[in-house]
Amino acid sequence: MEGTITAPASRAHCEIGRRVRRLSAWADRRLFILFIAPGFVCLSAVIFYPAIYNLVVSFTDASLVYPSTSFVGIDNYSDTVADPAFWRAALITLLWTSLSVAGQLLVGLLGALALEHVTAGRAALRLALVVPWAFPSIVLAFDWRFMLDPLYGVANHLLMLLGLIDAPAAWLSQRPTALPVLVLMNVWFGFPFMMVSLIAGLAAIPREQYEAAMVDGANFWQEFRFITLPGLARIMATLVILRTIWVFNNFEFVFLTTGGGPVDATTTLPIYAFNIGWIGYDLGRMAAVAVLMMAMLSLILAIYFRVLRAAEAAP
Amino acid sequence: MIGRAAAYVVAIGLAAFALFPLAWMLLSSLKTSAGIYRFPPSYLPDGLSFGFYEKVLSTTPFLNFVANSLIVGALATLIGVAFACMAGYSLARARFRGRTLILRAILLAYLFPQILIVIPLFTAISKLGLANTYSGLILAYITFSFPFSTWMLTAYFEKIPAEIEEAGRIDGASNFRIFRSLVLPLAAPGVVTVTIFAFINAWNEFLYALVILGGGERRTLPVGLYNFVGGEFAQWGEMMAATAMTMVPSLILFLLVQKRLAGGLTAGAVRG
Repeated sequence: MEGTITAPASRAHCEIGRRVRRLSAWADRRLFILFIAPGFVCLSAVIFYPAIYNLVVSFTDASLVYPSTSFVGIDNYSDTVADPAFWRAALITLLWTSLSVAGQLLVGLLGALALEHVTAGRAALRLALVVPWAFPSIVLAFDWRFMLDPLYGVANHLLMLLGLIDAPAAWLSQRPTALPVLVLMNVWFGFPFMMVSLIAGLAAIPREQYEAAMVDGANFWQEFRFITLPGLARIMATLVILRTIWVFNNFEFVFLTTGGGPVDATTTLPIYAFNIGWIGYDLGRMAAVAVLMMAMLSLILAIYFRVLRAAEAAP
Repeated sequence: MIGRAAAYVVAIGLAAFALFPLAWMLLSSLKTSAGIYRFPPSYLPDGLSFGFYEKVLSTTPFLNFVANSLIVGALATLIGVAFACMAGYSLARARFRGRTLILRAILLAYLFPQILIVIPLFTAISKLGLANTYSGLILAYITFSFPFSTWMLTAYFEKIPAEIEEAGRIDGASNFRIFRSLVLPLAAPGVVTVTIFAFINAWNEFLYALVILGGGERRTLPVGLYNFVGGEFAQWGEMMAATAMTMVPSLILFLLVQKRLAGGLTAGAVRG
């Protein structure tokens, strides 16, 4: 077999083989960098490039209808800041975010503690309790809209049975109830995530602490106050931060449920930005609103982190 | 004893709260028009009726939407998770300058609101001639599948003991071989979890699909439902049947991975 290969060809063959080997050895030494590169290139293309582009657009009069654009300085920002609707949307966003996150955390904690003390049927209950987490926004919105429907909704019927209301109400199309109901929906959707994470947190608290407390005759509240709560503090802080980002930025939940209405009662900042850019064609202003949103979120997170650091420094 | 009873009351009460919307959706979808448009509502259907399902399947391109969602979701997940496996492993193992910077950048990606990304992304995708194509939307979905998956997988890879890799190195295996034959199989449960979760996210996504695919025939399921069923006035029965069919795959996949999910989500965050 070897005899059929002529000497020069085999030398060339060796040369190519050596190059390939050298190349693959080189690649293998730099494997880590080569492994990070593709994802990072994608990330730059689909997040960091658009983010910078967005910043540039926010200083122009870019529009979905006119092809030409020119720089307009800080006009988009000054127009936005001067718009009372922007500040109303900011206030609604703060309410929507803080109430949703607080509610999710509270109900999640309640669920986690209840499951901890349940014995028979714990796995089944746990499975039932995580179901809302699996709801796609579109399904969640349609399902709840149907349940809350003023004509055929089951929510009205249940509330009338309980004697809480006298006549059917249009929960999502009345100003005073739209936002609270939206928050309730978000608590329903988001508490499982909190609960499951808190269960993991509870499991990490050493048993001995509870045993020692029992020997000392501590009651349920004392155990909760001095062992459970401090033991969960770190994970709770993480959860609050993650959820704040998610709820603050979330568009589709509100858009699909109320579209920001009635009138502007549930118009959060993402909806406000969408209406300006996609419905009003004013991309420059939409970009400016998005930048201001990022600034607000960063400020909120900076405050969180400062409070956290202070809390960790305190004994 | 009282504590346990209270725990059961709370857990069962919460479970009823959690399950009611799902139960109501399924029950309503099996009613007839006469059964659904009625107040006070009837809680159980008079008999099983698949009329609403038949109507959705025969009068709307529902199955088309399903196919679109499957194509986009599968490809976006595959690409995002493959890149994330590689990046996550490197970030967990290698110590190089800029590592923290990259971890921060991935975290930062999570901070950007969709609403900030969507228009520039749409403009860029249009310029590339990818508006209203699967590729355009797949590219967009990498914005969340990659950072999220990398975040979780970095935590998984960090938990795999480095001694295993040392053993491979002593045997003279290359870095790539160690990754493929030793590390990846050990990380398989994490990879499966992340894959399923990334797919669910793509299956559920609405805004990017709305903007990038417009109203064309490549619409994914959420946008299709929004336009077709939701567009017309209060066709609740059809809506419930359509949402039930959208929900089921998502629910099954989710219940498979939910146990492993929470730990991974926060593990990545705590390290931050």
